[in-house]
Amino acid sequence: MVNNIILGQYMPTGSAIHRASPKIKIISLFLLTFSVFMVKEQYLYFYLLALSIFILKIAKLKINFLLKGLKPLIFLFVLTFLLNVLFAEGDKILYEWGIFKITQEGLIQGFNFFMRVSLLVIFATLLTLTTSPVELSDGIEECLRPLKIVKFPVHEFALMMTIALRFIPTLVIEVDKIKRAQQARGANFNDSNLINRAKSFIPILIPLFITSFKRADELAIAMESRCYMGGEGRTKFRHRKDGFFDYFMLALVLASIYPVVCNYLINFHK
Amino acid sequence: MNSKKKLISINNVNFIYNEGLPTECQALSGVNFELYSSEITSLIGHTGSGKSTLVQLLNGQRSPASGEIKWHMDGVCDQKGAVIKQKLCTAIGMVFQYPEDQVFEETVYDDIAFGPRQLAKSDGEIEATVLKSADLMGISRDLMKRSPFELSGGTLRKVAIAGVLAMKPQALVLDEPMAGLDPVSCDALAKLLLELRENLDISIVMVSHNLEYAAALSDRIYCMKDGRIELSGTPREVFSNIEKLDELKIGFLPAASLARSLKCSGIKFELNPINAAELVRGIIKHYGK
Repeated sequence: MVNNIILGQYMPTGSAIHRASPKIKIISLFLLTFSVFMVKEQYLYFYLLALSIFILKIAKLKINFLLKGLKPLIFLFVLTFLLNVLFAEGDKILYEWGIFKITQEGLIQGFNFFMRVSLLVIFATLLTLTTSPVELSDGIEECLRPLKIVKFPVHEFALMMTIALRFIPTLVIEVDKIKRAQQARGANFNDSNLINRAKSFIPILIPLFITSFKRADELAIAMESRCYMGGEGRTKFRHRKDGFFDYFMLALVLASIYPVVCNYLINFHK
Repeated sequence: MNSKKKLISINNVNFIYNEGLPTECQALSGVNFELYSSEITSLIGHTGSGKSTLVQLLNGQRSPASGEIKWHMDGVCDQKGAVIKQKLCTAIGMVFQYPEDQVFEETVYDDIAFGPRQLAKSDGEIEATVLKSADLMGISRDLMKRSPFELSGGTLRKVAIAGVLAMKPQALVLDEPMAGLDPVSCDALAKLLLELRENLDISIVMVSHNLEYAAALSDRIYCMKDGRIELSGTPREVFSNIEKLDELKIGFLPAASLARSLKCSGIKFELNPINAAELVRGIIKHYGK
C-alpha cells in the first residue's frame, strides 16, 4: 500500500530526547505529572508551562505539533473551566445571575483545573511525540519489570501492547477496503436515520472481525513455528542500556521539579 | 464490432497519493484508458505499477489530481450531466482482491441478496436476481442455505462475485481475480468470465499477473509500468512486441518465449505466435515447405 499511516503522533526529528531511553522518559512523565498536582501557587503553573516549551525546543519540535494534540481536547478544557467557575463555592461574589454565581474562588479553581488538565496533556503529548510506539511498549515493559515479583506477566503484557499498536494501521486499511467493497454492493453508510446507520455498519464489522480473528490465528501459528515461548530467557535484538546521558536527563527533570516540590512542602507545613 | 460503445474514457489522468505530505507518491501519470461495451480488458504490470489505483478510478472511488474521466453509460448522470456517485458504484461492479473477505451474511443466499435488498426490491425480484447471479457463477442451489464460511476459498470467491453481479452492473471490474486460487479453480473462473460476457453482454476489466489468462481472455490489454501505460492493444499487438515487453520486464507468454528461441535456431514464423496452437501451426508450416 502506498498509503502510509503515521501511528499516534510520533514525530521523528532525531533529537537527544528522541534518542533517550524510553524507560527514563516514562519515569520523567510520572515525575512531571506528580509535580503538576503539587502546585500550590499559581505562578508555578507558568513555570511548568515554560518547562514544557523548553523540552519541546530541545526535542526540535514545532509548537504546532503540540497544539494539534491539544485541539481535540479544547471542549474538555472549556467545560472543566466553566463548571468550576459556575459551581464553585465562595464568598467574594463578582457576578450573579439566577443560580449561577461567579466568585473569585471559583475563578481561581477553574484556572487551576484548566492548567492542570492542559499540563498533563502537554507532558503526555511530549512523550508520544518523541517516542515511537515500539519504544513506548519497550519502556513500559522495563518500568513494569519489578512487578514480576508478584507474578505479573510483564513480558506478555508488553507484547500484547506492541501487537495491538502494530495492527492499528492494518485494521484501518482493512476497514477502508471492506467499506468500498460493500459500497460496490449498494451499501449506504450515510443514512440519516440513526438506527439504519448503525445497522449499515454490520457489513463492515463482521468481515473485519472474521479477518482479524483469522489474522490473530495466523500470527499465533507463525510465532509458535518460530519457537516463541514467552518472555522466559528471551533476549532483545536491539539491546539498550541506560547510559550516562539518560541518568543525566533524569537528574535534570528531578532538578527542574525541585522548586515545585519545595513550594509544596513549605505550604504543606503552614 | 461496430456496435461497440465506449463506456468509460480516461484522458491524461494523474493521481497522487498523500498529496502535500512527506509520503507523497505519484501513482498515475498521463494515463489514457478506454473501456468498450462487451469487451474484456486486462491490465498487466508489476506490483506498484498503478493498476489497482487505475481500477479504483473507474467507479469514482478516487478522483484524479488532474485529467478527466468520462462515463458514457446509461443512468449514471443526472440531467445536468453530473455523475451520481451512488449509481456509479453499482453500475460498475467492483470486485476487490480477495473478495471473499467481504462476505458476512449467515447464508450464501442472504449474502448474494445483500445488494438487491439495498435497492428495496420485492422479495420475488430479489429471489430471481439472486438465483440468476448464482447460476451465472455456477453456484449450485443446495449451497444457498449453507453458511458461506463453510465453503472453500474458490467457491466463496464465486459467491462474492455473484454478490456484485446481483447489482446488475454494466461493467465488472476484477482486481486479481485469480490470486490465491489453485489452477483448476483459475481455469474455471476464466471460463466463467467468458460465459459472463456471452450471457450478460457485460464488459469486464481484469487486473492480472497471469499473462496467459490475460492473453486468452482479453480483447484489449493495457500494460503498465511506474504509473504509465507503456503498451496497449490487442493481445497479439502487445505480446508480439517482444522487445518492448523485454524492456518493461513484464515477461513473455510461454509460446512467444519458445518461438523466440526457435527463431534463433532458424525457424521463421509469419506472425508471432501467442498460444500453443499458433506455435504448432507455425512450426508445421515451416517444416512443411
